[in-house]
Amino acid sequence: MERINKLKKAIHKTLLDKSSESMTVSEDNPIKVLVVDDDELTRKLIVRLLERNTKAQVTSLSNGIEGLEYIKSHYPDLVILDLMLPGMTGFEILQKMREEELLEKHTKVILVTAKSRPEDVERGFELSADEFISKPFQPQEFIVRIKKVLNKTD
Amino acid sequence: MPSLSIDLIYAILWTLTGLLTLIFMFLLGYTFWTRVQNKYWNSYRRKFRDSYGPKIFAFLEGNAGQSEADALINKLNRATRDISFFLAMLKEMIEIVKGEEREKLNILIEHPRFIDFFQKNCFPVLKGIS
Repeated sequence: MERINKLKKAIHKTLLDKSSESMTVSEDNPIKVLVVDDDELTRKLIVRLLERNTKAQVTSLSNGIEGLEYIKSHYPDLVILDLMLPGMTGFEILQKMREEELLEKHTKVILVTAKSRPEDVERGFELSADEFISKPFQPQEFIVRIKKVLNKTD
Repeated sequence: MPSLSIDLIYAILWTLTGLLTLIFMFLLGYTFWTRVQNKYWNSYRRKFRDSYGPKIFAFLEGNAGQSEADALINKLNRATRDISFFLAMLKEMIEIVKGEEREKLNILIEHPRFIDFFQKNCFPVLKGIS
């Protein structure tokens, strides 16, 4: 089972390396975005913003453990993670993603939190987060930053 | 004399048992009733939020003015519960958005209907004074 998973990961990685050198938001190749936030209104607002401003295929979850399971099985292109989550914190998810090499080349991570202490921001970037957005945020600016991360090449 | 006291003890025991059974039944009924009520209001709240969430988002995305705010707030039922749910959503939104969107939220928060609501519900004592 473990070997199959490794093989799956390797195939997925190879395909991504070939097809998404630069991840642009296009209709032909919709990017997969996962939003993990326990706050219902924030989650709905982010999903709405993404659906209205990008052609992304958006999935939203409210629990950290479910979020990690989804990431492992679906390999989203972008994960928008809240730091304070039930089950597992955003940092723990990021740490696990790093340990399991899910961050390599494909999945990009944006951390969203209401408590943006400098040490949290630092820790987030140390764990290879691509962006850190603090709440409250301005919706248009939020979208611009997401698009910037998506179009960023490694 | 001893048989009389045993009768008395029995009577007291039966009365106590009856009383405790009544209290137990009342508490059981009350628990059941509050659970049913909570379930109903939770489901109502969920439906309310599902319905008004997109409306608030649409308000923030559009050219939010007083007339748009009036149109949105006039859709609200006059029930205290609905107004409380709506105000709770606005309070949550304050913690999510800033800038222009936050200013648009102010138009809703400062709507005369809510000021009237607060005066009626939170400051009933003031009614007679003014």
